[in-house]
Amino acid sequence: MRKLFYKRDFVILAVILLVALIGMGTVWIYHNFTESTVVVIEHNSVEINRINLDKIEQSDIIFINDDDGCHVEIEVENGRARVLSSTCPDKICVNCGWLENKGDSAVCLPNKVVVRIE
Amino acid sequence: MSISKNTNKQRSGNAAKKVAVFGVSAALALALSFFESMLPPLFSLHIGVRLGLSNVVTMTCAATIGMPCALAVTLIKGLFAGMTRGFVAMLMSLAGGLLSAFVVCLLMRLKLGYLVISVIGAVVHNMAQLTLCAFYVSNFGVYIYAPVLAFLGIIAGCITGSILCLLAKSKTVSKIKNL
Repeated sequence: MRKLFYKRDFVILAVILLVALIGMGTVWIYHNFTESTVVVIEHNSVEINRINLDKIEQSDIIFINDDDGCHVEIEVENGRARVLSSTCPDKICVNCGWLENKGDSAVCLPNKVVVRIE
Repeated sequence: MSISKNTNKQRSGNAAKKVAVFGVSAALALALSFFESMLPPLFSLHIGVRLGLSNVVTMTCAATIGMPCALAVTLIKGLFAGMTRGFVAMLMSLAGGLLSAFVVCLLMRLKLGYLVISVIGAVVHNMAQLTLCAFYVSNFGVYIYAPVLAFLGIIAGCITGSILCLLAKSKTVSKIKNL
C-alpha cells in the first residue's frame, strides 16, 4: 500500500519549493528595482501600440477591433494601464487589473491580445 | 477446460467492471470540474487559478485501473471544456491535463508518496498550460507567472494529493484496484 508521504519524498518537494521560491524572489526583485515606462499592446502576435506611460497626462482608451467580433478596450494612465473591457467569456484579462510594474502583463487568449509593461 | 472457461468469464466480467468504473470516473470528473467553476476564486489571484478537484479523479484512475483510462478521462474532460467554454479552454485543458496525467501515471510506477506525485502533477499541469499560452500568443513574457504558478501548483497539489490518499485507502477504491 502506497503511503501519503515517504521520507525521501521530502527532497523532491523541497527542490520544487526552492525553485519556485527563488523564481518568485527574482520576479519580485525585477518588479521592484527596475524602472518601468513603456506599455506594449499586441494583437494576433503583432505589436500595434507602444506608449510611454510617463508621458501620458490624461487617461486615454485604446480600442482593438477585428472581424472576428473581438472588441477590447485598454485604458492607459500616467504610470499604469489596464484592460477595461473585453468580449472574452472569462474576463481573466480584465480581472488582472492595473498593470504598473515592469513585466506585468494581461493576456486575453480568446481575442489574442497581450498588454504588457516593458 | 472448465477452468479456462471460468477464468474467461471472470475476465470479461472484470472488463465490464472496468468500463463501468471508467464511465463513473468520467462523469465524476465532469461534475467536479463544473462544481469547481462555480466556486469563488480560491486564491485571489486573477490569472485563472483553480484547485483542480477533477484531477483527483484522473489520479485515482491512474492509481487503480491504469494509464489508458486516466488519459481517456482527461480527454473527455477536455472535450467537455471545449463544448462549454470554447476552443481555447479545450486546448488549455487538454495540454495541461494530458501531460500531467501522463507524468502522474509514470510516477505511479515508482515508490513515491501520493503527496509528491500530486504536487509534481499539478506543477506540470500549470507549466504545460503556461507554455501553450506562451506559444498561442507568441509572447514568452508570460513566463513571468511561472514561479507563482509553480508555487500555487504545490499548494493545490498538496490538497488534491491528500484527498487522493484518503480515497485510495477507502474500501471501494481498493476493490477497484484489485479488478
